[in-house]
Amino acid sequence: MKTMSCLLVRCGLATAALLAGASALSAAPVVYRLTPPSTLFSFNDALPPIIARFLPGQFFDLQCTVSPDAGQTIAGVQFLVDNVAVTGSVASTPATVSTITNVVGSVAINIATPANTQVFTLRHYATNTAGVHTLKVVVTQSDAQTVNASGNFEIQAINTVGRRAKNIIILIGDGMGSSHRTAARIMGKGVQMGKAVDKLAMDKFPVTGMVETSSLNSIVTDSAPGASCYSTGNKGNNNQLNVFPDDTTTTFDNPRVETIGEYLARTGGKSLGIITTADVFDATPAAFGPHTSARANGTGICDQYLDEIVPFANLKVLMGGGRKWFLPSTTVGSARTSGSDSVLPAELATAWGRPVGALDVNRDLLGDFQTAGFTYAPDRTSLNGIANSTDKLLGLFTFSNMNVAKDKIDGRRNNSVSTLSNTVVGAYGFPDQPMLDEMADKALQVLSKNLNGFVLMIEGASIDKQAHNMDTERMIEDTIEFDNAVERCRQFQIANPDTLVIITADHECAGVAIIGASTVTNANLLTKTSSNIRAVVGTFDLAGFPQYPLSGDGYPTTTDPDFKMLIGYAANADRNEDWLTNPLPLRDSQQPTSGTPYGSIVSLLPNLPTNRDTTNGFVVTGQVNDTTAAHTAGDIPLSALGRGSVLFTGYMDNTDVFFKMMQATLGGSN
Amino acid sequence: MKLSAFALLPLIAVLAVPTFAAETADPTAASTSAPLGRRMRTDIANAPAAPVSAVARAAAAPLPALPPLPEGVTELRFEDFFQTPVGPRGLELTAKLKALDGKRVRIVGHMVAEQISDDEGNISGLPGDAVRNGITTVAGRFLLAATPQTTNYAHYGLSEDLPPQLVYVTVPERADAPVPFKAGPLLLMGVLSVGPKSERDDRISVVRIKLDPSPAAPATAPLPVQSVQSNNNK
Repeated sequence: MKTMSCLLVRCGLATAALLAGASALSAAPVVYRLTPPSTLFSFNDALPPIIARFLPGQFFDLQCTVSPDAGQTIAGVQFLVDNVAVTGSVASTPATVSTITNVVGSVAINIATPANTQVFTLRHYATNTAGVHTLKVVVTQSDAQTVNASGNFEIQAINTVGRRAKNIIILIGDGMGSSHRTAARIMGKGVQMGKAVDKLAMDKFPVTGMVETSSLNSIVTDSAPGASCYSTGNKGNNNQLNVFPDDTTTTFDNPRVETIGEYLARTGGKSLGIITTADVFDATPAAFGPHTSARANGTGICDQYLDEIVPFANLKVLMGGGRKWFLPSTTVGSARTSGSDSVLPAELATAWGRPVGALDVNRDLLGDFQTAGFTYAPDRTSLNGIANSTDKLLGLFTFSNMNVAKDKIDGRRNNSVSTLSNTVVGAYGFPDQPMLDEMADKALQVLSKNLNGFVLMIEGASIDKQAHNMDTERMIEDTIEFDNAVERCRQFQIANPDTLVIITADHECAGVAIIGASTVTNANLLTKTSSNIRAVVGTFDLAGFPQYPLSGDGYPTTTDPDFKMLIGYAANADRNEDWLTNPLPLRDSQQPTSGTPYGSIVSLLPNLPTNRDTTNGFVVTGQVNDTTAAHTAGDIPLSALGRGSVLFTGYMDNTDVFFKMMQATLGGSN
Repeated sequence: MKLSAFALLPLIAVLAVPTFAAETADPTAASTSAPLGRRMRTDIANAPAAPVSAVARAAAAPLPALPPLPEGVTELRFEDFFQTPVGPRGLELTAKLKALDGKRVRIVGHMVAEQISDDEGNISGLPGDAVRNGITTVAGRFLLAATPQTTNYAHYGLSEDLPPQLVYVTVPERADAPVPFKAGPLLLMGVLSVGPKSERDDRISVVRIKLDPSPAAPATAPLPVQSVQSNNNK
């Protein structure tokens, strides 16, 4: 019987030296993955940072991927933490990915998945002992050979040091970097002689930090792991929600990590609220609820909200767009499909105590929510009219993403029957959508009923989506809308001091930069053509201080004032630019166009940034080989207010945000 | 491979999409002529009626001229599909659409570029009746949308971002073969059927057109499949 280190085996199989040197070395099973992820396993590096960290008692799954020798099978797998065997059943399933990651000389490469490779999982593990722990897996092959592999993880201690935060509100301006905030301040508050005329609500938060946003597999994250790290304290691969990566193609079986909602509902009886201006299945809202390795699984994600997150995370408020997932497939407009639905492996469902689920495209999920006691609001009027006694609230205001702030405000300014056809929201068929701050008000009203406290995630989703589209004015007005929601939360915190409020993003989007301002009046700008419009860009002294007159609704009366602010994009795709407000948004293809007379507007919405500003704009060649701008890896700002906010100063990894929130609510702060 | 063999009428000229100047400024706006002037807050409550917006002008833009409508054929537009404002649950078909069930219609739209990536990231057009990457693809049909759309089943499965007003177009003359992708606006004519229906590719179609038999169609080389385009922001 031979026992050898896993790293040696994995590297040895791929290096000429070992292949040539010892045939015996290849005669052993190979461990290709050990979860939770660690640098100890991947690179034989036990030094910090420890990749996977958990709270005392926070549940997560242990997993390994093992390939036996030809003609052999894996006879046994034993997980050990600090050399103590972990009790519990180990389930096995074939590895179904076509390639698998191997590490050669600290470089990860993909190789074809060897035959008979298996994935072994021990679910629902937790320990209360703080500190770094060694995770070892011992694998026994059918010929009695064994191999072991080691990794590590850390249990982050919670210190009892002061008064605890009863409520946590985390506001995520999706894609919101520092320039998005500055642009919103310039447009919404103004700058005179070098000083801001007034502060954004988020500027009034006393504590500021900087957050690094990398995901487990890239320096550039997408929203799924970018927000899941706030929910679980752990990194995931891009596209993945509240799980670790695995080597199966099934998307609802990945190793899970208990989320902030699940943990605090289980241990403290707190409620959970999720509100967004996106489709509720979108990555950021889903990061505070469901578990899946594919953020596109809309049917299963929305089913999990009711089947798992309501009973196990005490979900009381869910608001945003995305009605299409809640209607039976026989209802016109439904997007429910079997391919995106959730069915859990029996062993997972058993271990976590969750329902298996079903492929049920004809499910009336909206009706099921109502049966479960949720008050349903399909528009702003009904949202405003909910009873004070409402303790469960579902708001689904559009079929997919909600319209952006500029178009909602334009709709309200033209809000009469005779002018409805003039508005984008009218054209999309949803003229009565709430603003994010109005949704926040109602969410706080409902969640406050729980004396144990709550966790509320509020997402300004289209800061990101309009940055992707390089639609400057819509991006900035969505940041202003987000700031209005921040102000509602700030006021709530003042009235409820045991509340922690955090504002941050999940990543920066588009490489937004305020490059200066127009040197001409709007009337002059309208006369420019592609040959001379770039000459209006005023940099340094010529930028001056752009001024945006405000209406009583708090938004600019026009986003095309004289000498307007100009924005550049570092992560840009090809686009045309004429510096003027785009009268129409890019088409959101997920939204329904509507019946006459409004629908003819929607059919004219440009599809891509290259279909916009085609008359007088100049072509800006993109650095990104895509149709829209990309996320960037730059650090993002974080602002904090209230109980425990002092913990959030300085530089932090995005996973640190989770542990700081939990320290504030479980252990308190001075 | 030749495009034709089905009743895809000759491609019409590219639809002219009007472009617009920026929206007219709110008449209640404070003066912005001086870059250093302190702003004045104004209230729109007493503002005069809003000027006709660029959006409204877009709505009023005429469609380009189409060939004369054949006798017995009704012009159908994507905006004819659903009622607005949308009610509290699903979309509802317009009376016009329901009245055209079983009748011959004509519609202008864009063929959806349906793609599948292989494990190496190579992109191919949708094959015929087959299962690839777990997706059932069906020969003899394509999807028609109001604007150009691309979907990649390897990325999103059926959770794509195609709009609900999608026409499921069946091409009887190519029942056993994939329909090659063709970019640009298409003018189609055939028999309309409406109402939810389960399709072999797991879609629930709502609006379907069975294309008329083809007149003598020109032999046209298929265009290459477009590069991936998606509005699925991350």
